[in-house]
Amino acid sequence: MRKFLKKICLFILPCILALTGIIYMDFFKVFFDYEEYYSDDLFVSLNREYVCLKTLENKAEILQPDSFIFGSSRSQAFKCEDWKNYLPDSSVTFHFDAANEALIGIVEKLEYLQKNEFQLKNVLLIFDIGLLTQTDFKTRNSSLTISHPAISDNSKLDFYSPFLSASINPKFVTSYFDYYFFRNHRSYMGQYIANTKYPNIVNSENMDVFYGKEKEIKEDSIRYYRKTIESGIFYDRKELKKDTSQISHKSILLLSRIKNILEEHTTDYRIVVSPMYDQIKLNSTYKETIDSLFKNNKVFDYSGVNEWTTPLGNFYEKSHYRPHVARAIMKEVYSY
Amino acid sequence: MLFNSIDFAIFLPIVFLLYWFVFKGKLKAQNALIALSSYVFYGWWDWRFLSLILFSTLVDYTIGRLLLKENDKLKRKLFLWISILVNLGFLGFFKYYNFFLDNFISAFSLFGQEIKVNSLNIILPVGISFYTFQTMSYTIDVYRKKLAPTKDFVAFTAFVSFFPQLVAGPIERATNLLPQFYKKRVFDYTLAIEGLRQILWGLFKKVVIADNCAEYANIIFNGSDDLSGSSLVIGAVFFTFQIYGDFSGYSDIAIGTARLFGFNLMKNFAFPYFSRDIAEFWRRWHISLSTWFRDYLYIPLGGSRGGLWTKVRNTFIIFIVSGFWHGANWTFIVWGALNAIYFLPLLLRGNNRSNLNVVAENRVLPTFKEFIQILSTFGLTVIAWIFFRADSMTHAMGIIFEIGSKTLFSIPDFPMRHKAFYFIPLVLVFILFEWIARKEEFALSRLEYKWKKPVRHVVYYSLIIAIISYAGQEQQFIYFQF
Repeated sequence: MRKFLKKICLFILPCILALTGIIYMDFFKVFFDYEEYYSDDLFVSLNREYVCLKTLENKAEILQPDSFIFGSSRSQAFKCEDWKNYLPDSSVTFHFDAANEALIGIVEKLEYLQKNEFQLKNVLLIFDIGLLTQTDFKTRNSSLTISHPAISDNSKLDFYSPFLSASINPKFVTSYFDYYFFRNHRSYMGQYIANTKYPNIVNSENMDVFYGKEKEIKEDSIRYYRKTIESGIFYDRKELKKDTSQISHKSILLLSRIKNILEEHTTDYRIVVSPMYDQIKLNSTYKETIDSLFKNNKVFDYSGVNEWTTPLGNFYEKSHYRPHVARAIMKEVYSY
Repeated sequence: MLFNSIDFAIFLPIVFLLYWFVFKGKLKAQNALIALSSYVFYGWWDWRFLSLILFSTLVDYTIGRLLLKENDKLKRKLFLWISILVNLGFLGFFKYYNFFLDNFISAFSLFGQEIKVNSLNIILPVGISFYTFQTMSYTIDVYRKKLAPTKDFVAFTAFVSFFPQLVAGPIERATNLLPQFYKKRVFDYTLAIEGLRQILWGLFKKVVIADNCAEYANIIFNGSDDLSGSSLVIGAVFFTFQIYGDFSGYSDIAIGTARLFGFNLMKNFAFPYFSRDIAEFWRRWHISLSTWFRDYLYIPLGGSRGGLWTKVRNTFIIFIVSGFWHGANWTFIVWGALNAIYFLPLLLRGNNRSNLNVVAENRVLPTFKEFIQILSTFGLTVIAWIFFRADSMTHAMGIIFEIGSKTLFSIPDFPMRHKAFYFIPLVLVFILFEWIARKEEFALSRLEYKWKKPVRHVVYYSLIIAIISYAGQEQQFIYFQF
């Protein structure tokens, strides 16, 4: 037995050393606390929800935000500065999104804010079909998407495991050190390493993200769209698909929880269903359910074939639309 | 609790240390620890269903004791049927109630009779098909007087709920496993090391091979309406490796874990995709279930005795029941029937036992004939797995018809195809490992006699890195649903 335990200890020693090294390096900035999460020399993609949460914790007392934008990365088209034009002057805005956000994620965030006695004067909810049909955190299990225990029912082990896995992923490690030494973003690096030729800029107070792609498009839009079309990022939309998702009982319960919180705080809110490149229209049952749950003139559906989803120039790629679309949407939704 | 979870990575060392240090040499205490740990292991998923296991344990233990005292044939038969009815009753209610109800309603609607009965929202208890079969084997063997009924309730509880194989097998025979609970267990270094290697290989099969194949198989099967025949074939091949990696991976972890506690479980897989005909495949795939059906259904039905018609009938019964055991859906029944049809030519020609040895036993590579035989058997299983994986018969037939169309010869085009093609070399390396070790119990078996220490350690660490790298996409084992 002693021989066995000794052998096991010796065998796992390199693993323990590697683990210590990973925690010390803290590639994804989750093992230690930081005052600022985004910096000029950062090139690793961070977990957006975690960074928003930590920023909120760090700066809540000074900033005291009372107006929040919720949604997935698609919500990043909506900028706090643009939104403020439609809010009372005293409003302090904050962008509280998550990568691959789920409906449950928004509910839990609202409940977190409520529990921590934040005011909810204004709320902008950016939905899409994918978000509405995700009623649990199951699909959010990678380092970029895993939800923090303060927001979800994940344990600390559940939360930290994907970061440990990602930190020893040979592809990530290779990408990290390749970029660290040569400062050149290569296509194999994927989503772990941010493209720093056109870096995203994050407002460290309200967490708005300004995509570097916007600058790239402004420099040479023809080159940008030719490149994305040739690489297959935009596909042909000749055959339109239907939204076949079913509204589940759980979705209705989650939407009701959102409604109850917003009503309790007498929040001025708007719900936007995002314009998507796939032009799939939110099915009528779902739309009717949302309409019946929330007040009149609060829900605005931009899915399907329309002036916002048709031009290619409204999108960075098939998943994300550009801020000028969001600005036009805000103008419309706040005109009622 | 899943084997591929952090929870299990913490649970296992704790139980191991308690077992060998705190309760060392105390057989009763070790058995009690196994029983208690097994209940914790199962209760981690849903503690409410522990009552089912406990009830099943109590019924079979009591009936075992009653069978010992009773000599009257009729009464003995009655006790046996009580046990079978209780066990199959649980299984029937939790697994098949809605299936029978729906089919009953559909059958009546054919004659214009509308029956309005709501199906029940029943949760299927994890592993119910496995532990009910295991406990039934005990009562049947006691009834047949092949096994003396146990007096030791703790040992029997530990036998029924033994956590390494509780939820997805191997389905142990009481004659093999129960006596191991009576013997004093001494720590065996070689057995424990071999167990760890088997756990490592099982985790690799599950986390790296099966879970990645699952990603692509799911994309293709879920979007099958829009995909070409060639893409659907790739999806079916991915599922073929997914189910093998998933289920044989689970069995490896189960057998390896049992070895850490000094137990030997039966072999459940023997490199089935290297089989030269379908009969050989079924001698190598889910061995514990195939032999269970052979011993407790096929032989009592008359087995191979009697005329050709009896053999054919019994073969079909076994395969169809086996299909139905997997799930309450017509797709599983058709999957079983299809395998029986595959088996039929071998049975009729009397050469269903012609490939009993390991393929290319004393050679590195198979002969051309063997290679063709392996490929064609593999092809047949891929087609059968389509029924196993499809959501419904309509779904399965849609896939089969598309594969039979001219789109089979088009260039495969499905979402994430580039990522999927990058994964194929890893699958090929996996096949190579399995091929090299095809005479062994599992791919890393007895490695200390074959490879030098530094090479072994490179392999171990590479596997660990691969497992941890892919661990984020934790997926449940397919066979949990059975």
